[in-house]
Amino acid sequence: MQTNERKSPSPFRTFLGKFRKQRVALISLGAVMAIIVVGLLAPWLAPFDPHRPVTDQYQAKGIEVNQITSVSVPLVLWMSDGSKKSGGEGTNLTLHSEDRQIAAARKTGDGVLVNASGDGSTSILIATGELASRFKVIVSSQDDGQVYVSRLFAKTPQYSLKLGESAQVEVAAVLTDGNEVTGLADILAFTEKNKAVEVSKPVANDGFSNSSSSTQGGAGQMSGLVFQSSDSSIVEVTPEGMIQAVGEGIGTVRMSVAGVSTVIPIAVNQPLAAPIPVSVEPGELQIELINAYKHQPPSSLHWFGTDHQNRDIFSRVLLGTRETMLIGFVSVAIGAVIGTILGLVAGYYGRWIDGWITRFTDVLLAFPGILLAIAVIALLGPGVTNIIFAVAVFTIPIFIRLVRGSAMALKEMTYVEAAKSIGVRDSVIIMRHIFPGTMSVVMVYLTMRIGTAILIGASLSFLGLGGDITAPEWGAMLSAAKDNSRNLFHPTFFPGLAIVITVLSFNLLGDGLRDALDPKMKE
Amino acid sequence: MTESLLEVHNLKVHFPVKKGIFQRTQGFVRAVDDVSFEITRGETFGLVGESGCGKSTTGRAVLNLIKPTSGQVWFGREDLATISPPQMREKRKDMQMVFQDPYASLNPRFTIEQILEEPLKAHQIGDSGQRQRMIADMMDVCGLNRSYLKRYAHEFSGGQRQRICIARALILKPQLIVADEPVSALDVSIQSQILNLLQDIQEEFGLTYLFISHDLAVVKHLCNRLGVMYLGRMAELGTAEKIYAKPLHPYTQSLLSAIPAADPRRKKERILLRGEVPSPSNPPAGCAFVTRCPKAEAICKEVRPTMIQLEEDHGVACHLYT
Amino acid sequence: MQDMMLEVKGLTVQFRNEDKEYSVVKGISFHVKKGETLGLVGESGCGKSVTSLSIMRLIPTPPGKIVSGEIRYKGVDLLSLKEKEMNKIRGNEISMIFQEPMTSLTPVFTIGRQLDEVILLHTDLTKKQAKERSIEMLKLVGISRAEQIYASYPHELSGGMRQRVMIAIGLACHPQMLIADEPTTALDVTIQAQILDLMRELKEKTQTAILLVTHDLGVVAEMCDRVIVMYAGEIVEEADVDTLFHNPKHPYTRGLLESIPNLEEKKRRLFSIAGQVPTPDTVIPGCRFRDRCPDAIARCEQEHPELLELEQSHTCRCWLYAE
Repeated sequence: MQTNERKSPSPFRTFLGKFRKQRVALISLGAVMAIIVVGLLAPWLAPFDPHRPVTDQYQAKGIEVNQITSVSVPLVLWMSDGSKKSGGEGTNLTLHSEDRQIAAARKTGDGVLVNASGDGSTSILIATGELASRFKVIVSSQDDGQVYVSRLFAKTPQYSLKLGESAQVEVAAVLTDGNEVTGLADILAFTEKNKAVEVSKPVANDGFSNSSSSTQGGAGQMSGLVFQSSDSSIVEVTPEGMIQAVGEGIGTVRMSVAGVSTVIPIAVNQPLAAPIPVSVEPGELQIELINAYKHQPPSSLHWFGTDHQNRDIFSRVLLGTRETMLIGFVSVAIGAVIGTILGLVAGYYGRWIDGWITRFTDVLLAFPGILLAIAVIALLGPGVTNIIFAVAVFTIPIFIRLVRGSAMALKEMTYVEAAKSIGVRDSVIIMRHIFPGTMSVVMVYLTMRIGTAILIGASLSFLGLGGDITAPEWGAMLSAAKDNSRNLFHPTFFPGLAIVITVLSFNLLGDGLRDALDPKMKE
Repeated sequence: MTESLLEVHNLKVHFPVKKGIFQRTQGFVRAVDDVSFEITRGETFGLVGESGCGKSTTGRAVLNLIKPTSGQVWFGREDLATISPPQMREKRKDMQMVFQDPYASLNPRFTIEQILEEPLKAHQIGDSGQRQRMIADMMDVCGLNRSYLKRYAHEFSGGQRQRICIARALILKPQLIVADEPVSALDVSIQSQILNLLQDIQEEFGLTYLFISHDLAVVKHLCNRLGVMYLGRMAELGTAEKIYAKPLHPYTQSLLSAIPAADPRRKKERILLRGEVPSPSNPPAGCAFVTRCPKAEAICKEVRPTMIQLEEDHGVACHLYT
Repeated sequence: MQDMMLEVKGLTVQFRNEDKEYSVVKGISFHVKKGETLGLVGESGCGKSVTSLSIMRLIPTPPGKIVSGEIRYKGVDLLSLKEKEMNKIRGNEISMIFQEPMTSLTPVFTIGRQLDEVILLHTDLTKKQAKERSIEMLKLVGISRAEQIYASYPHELSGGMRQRVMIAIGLACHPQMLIADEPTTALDVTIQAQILDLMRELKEKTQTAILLVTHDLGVVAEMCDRVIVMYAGEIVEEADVDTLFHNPKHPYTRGLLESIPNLEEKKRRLFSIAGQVPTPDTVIPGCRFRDRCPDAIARCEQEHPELLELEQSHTCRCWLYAE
């Protein structure tokens, strides 16, 4: 009759079968496994040393720190005959940064080298002789939205006039956002508008840059477009840009707006002399730099950015996994082992042992978990070991209760009585019959408890009870970010995200385990 | 045949009833109240009664699974109440139990092999090869296919499980087996298989049974002697032949008459009892059966009857026979 | 005695369990007449409880499902009725008594309230009349302190008392048909005797038709007029009670009768049917009993036997009796 020789489905196999059907639990199991692997391999996976500023490590990694923090802007000189000459050789360049706290510039062979030194945006004025141009520098993506006049140039680069003749100068301006504004009126309108913006702008980041900008702005403050003749005996110019030849010779007219200027050579009754530079053009109208010394935003080099001490957050989150896992696993393991043993003893033997153990758990459970942990830390002093101990202490009573109840129910099972009647020792009965029965509850709670323990561990380090506050630990990272990176997103977001994902994974896994272990749940 | 294996003298098992927040003891449930009997080697002693009469508690107290409140249980030459726990554990080799519910009495996490090996391990008998052989032998004896060894108990039907339970009890070669309603959870066609198995192994291994059951027909089939219990007390005690032929106690009489016969042509005179079994925490002062007894007299309400030996091997606790 | 109360034709009930579908009851047919007691006997898993639940349309769906067949109560097909109409029949016309008196009563209401509820649900009586009827019913089932019991809660009563209350609830609306599923299995013999006595008395008084589902052949012998023996979802034998007990034909019936220990005669060994009761999901070709049958012949392996009429109202599903 018993012809079906199928493989015996062991309880473990049925559990696996049920567990496999739960997608969420499987995903969370994957996540948990990944987190554990990451925690174990963190020192090898982390691209940077999480304890030192990244800039100190660039050299060792073969990354040129200059490539990120500075950029070279080539210059082009426009000549009056329409030709262009690259580089600033021979020209007497002067460079002026509107805010040196943000960026500084210095001359190089064929252009200008701009260095970022702080977050924000500013502009750099390049001046050579009578010519001046400007470009914008944005550091660490902190664009303030300001648009500057980058360069002025005349539509007609040079004039050859008869005496008494007059002409209207056509001016155009290139803006740092790449647009071109042509004509006197439009340029005036733009500068007026810009000034309004500048005035209405709230006080800049810090007092220094403000004051320097206001003193700097002196040149730019010369409202509107100014025309100036180099020699009024040859050429006269009206504020509207009407030039008139009044004497023989070669003169120039200089136009300037907000510090930016250009010149137009004008020959009266004479052939034009050798071409002269009329405008200097920066290779870039707007450059973006990264301030590599603090709070780098997420980039391909630093996926999660860097923190206030310029440490790689990605590496710190990875290494924090290890610390977090240590707190989560070790504390819960200690708590579960002690709690399970006490619970088994209390549940199986009952009577006075049960009375004492139950009272002990009642006392511990009367404290809210985190307060109990804080109390333990207060007694023992901060530190990772003590955090583990603290979390373990408030995990113990929960496991005692759980296991005790389960053991009390199992004790009444006939098969336990049968084992007793056979003459099996109490210790063997507990280990072979009672403990495996409580395993399912313990496993589920263990998993969920790890999530809670991680959270409590993180909270304790957040409160500064974790000993070394500079250690790469998620709670400590959040705490440091809260103090030092007030309005930045990434230093708090990524450690926080890591905590959320980890705790969620453990909880979902625990849910899945419970469903799979529940004998009442079919399919 | 006259050597007694088990002697129970004045056994009492009282469970405290606790009430209120301070768990004060408010009284006792007299589950077993002054029960005495003895079982000779090789016989089957039946313990009959309705639910709550204390027959299962008596069985457990005999095996020291429940500590008796008072009284003695002599097994061989030793009083089980006075020996130390390690000695008791050693003694358990000689006395085993088969439980009523074959579903609950096997750990669902164990394979048949693990279940049968447990008693051997507990008493450190044999090495693993010898154990394997003993297990295989015992499975043959109990009619279990050897290929079941690695299977889990939950795959088997009630009858098979009960065979496993019997094999587990038998593997230590005990002298006494306490069988607590071993067939009442089984189907009719399976019951007879198990009853036959119990008889076969008794012959083969010279076992002594304490057979606890509510089914008088089964008890009659299997037992040499029996005791009828009511409300924690022994009402009638004697050989099966005598009790079934001539029941003395009014309770035994009504019990026997109440069994429906599997024969529609036999319409028998039925003694119908009225009322309910009193609570064992508050038994009547005199005879426990007085509330339902059709022949109750005034004395029954006041004086508790003692066991009277009316003839050899037939005693009754009833005032009708004084 | 001619009125047909209940007629079941070709009832098949399927259960589904983890992608497997199997029939628990396979095309059974029987009938119960007015004033008659029909016994439905079989071991656990033979489908007898499923049959009784199907008549009340109380099969949990899913996993269970009545696949085919007719259940006619006084000529009306119960399976085609709407749930509302069925509710009127339940309790009012057909009553059911379950095996577990401990769990069939709501623990939070008094006995009286639960009785009243049934009466109010199925009749037009006022609350006061309902209470009178309730107490009357409690007295009818042999409860002497009816007023006191009326006001007590189920946990205050013993098992026998509760089963009586269940019977009182079952009979409260004077049903014409009573389905009793193992009504005394959970009770002690002395209490069982009282309950059986009560049911017999009621039957004589009210001419109620009873379908008694049980595994206890003794109870059947005492109570029933006709008996159906079920095995693995099928009827294997049907006969009047006297014929069945004294001239059983099917090897299973014979085995069952021989395997119960008997008070009258002492046998050295009991007869026993070999093997185990098959679980409902095992597929057995041919005769479903042949693996356990001591008289199996070659034909039993190949062909599934049909019910054969041996004599007037005695049918048997066995090849031994085929010509």
